Amino acid sequence: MPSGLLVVAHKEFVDQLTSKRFLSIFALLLLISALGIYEGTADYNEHLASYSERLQSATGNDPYAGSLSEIISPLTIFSKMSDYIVLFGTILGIAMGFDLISREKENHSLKTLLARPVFRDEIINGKALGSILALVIALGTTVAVSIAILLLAGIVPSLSDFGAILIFTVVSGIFILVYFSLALMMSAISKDSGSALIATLIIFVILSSVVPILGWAAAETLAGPTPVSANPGSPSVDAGDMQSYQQDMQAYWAKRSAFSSAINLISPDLNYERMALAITDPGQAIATDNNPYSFAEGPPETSPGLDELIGAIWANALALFVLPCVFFGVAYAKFMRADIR
Amino acid sequence: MIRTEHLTKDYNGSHAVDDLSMEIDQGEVFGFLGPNGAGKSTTILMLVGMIEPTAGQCYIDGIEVARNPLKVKDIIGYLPEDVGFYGNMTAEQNLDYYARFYPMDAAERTQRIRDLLDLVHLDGVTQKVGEYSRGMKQRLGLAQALINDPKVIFLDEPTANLDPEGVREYRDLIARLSDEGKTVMISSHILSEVRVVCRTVGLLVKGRLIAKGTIEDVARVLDPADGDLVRIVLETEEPLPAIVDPAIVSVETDGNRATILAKSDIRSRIVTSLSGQGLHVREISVRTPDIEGLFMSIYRR
Repeated sequence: MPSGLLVVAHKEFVDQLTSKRFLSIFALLLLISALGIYEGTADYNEHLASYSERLQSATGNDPYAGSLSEIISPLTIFSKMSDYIVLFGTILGIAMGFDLISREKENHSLKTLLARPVFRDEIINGKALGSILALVIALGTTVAVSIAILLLAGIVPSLSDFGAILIFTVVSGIFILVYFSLALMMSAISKDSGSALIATLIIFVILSSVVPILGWAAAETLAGPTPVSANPGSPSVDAGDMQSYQQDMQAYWAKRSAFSSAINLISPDLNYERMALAITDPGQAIATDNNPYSFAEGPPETSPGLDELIGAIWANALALFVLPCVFFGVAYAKFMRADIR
Repeated sequence: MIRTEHLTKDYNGSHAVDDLSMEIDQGEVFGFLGPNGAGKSTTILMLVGMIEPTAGQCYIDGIEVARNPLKVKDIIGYLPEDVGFYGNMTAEQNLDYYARFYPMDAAERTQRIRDLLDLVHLDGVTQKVGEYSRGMKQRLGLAQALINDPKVIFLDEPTANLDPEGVREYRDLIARLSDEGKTVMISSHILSEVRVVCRTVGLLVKGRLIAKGTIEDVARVLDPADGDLVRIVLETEEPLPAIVDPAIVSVETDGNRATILAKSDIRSRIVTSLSGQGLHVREISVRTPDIEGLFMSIYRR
């Protein structure tokens, strides 16, 4: 006899894979991603042709030969895919989770199920496990189709690129899991599916849109007053004052950027976008940190090392991982203590 | 088979079930009566291990429910008052899902499901449960309660939503389960239904068990005017003489009619005595209490 966990997980997996809701959102994600990748491969091939052309025209005494930028990685094609995952992945995660528990309460099947020799934690864990497996299938298929399109277009990723695509898939899965677990939590807390969906959407808007806006405003307040020049409006500028002003501004923006980044850690969308960028375009990810002084420097000419990359995004990775754990924890605690009458 | 000891459940400081102690023997078909909100369903939920008691214990087949809910769930069947299923699945698929929680292999499951669907007349129904009528869902509810061939069966308002034919079949089913030696506890507020199928009943009011036994036992507790005495109504064609018998406690005579309060049913002795005196008995009967009326008075409290 399989354990209660596996029985529940199997049913949930089949339910998800056969649900019209799941299939339609999955089909949309697959279609949009495939189109995005197809478009990306065209851009990539165009860029590659232009690069070859410039390389052929460059001669040994050509003064511009050294300015040829590095050949772009096929991974950049996937950076576009992260935009679609932010949209459709969120919808998919919410659609899969918002009525997982509340629907059972509404149609009274939870009481019938709880009359079986099965622990409550096996029920909620089984539901989560079955849904996550369905999610893995959906995401895995989407990425597999994307790779197939790359190969059909004659773009063969290297082994390290395949590794990066795998990491990208895992990170994308965790991102969708954030919204799935949020929806599951609201499903366990709310009395009905309608309330669960509305509450989930409100929190989604707060996390994805309100937090970045408030984060920017709060960072401005927390960073204190903007440094001002020693002689504002004076036509003659003292070099020492100017240097001091520049240093103050740099310190101010570094502080403001740090505050903003810390607040933005609450937003799974921003964490995911930053991580996806770090995987698909590491140089760009290093240069992007809300600090205009960093923008001025532009992306590094060579790809950053793994340690530098980890140093830049570890907080985002941690935050992205912690959120679903918190949401699952609350859902679990609520379901275990729920009064079934 | 079913035993509760000072079983208590509080909700928001008030007793939903209050110090309930009772015992139900194996093979008994027990009716749990009481008005809505009396605590019947709460008691059953504690007995099936779905909620924990605030105080006291309950045991099924000697197993303490709160300590070993899964062991208990292995040997019980439960039909909730508002039974629900997965509307996107057929009856067979629903039952198969529930059956997978018990130690049954695929062949056993298939056979059991086939038998049960046949039993509740849902065999051959291919539509999804979401399209079922309430009565069909109730039939399926009975089937799911029997999926593991339980020793003890709890049925909460089992005849709700059943049509007359369904009720008749349900009665036959209970009789069959009783013959198989299964213990059945039926919660209901419909006395007439419980009277038909239950040998013993318990009356729960405001969380307290106020009477338990046969329907007559319970009625006597509810109407204690006569206590254990038997009230005999007598009518003769001729005016009645004095009636004497050692068992008689009191006699009220009115011409050819009398109401006799006796320690036991002495109707045959009275008839013999009156016939010996040349009197003709027109009617003699034991007055039973108006059970429906008594229960209704309790329900209205």
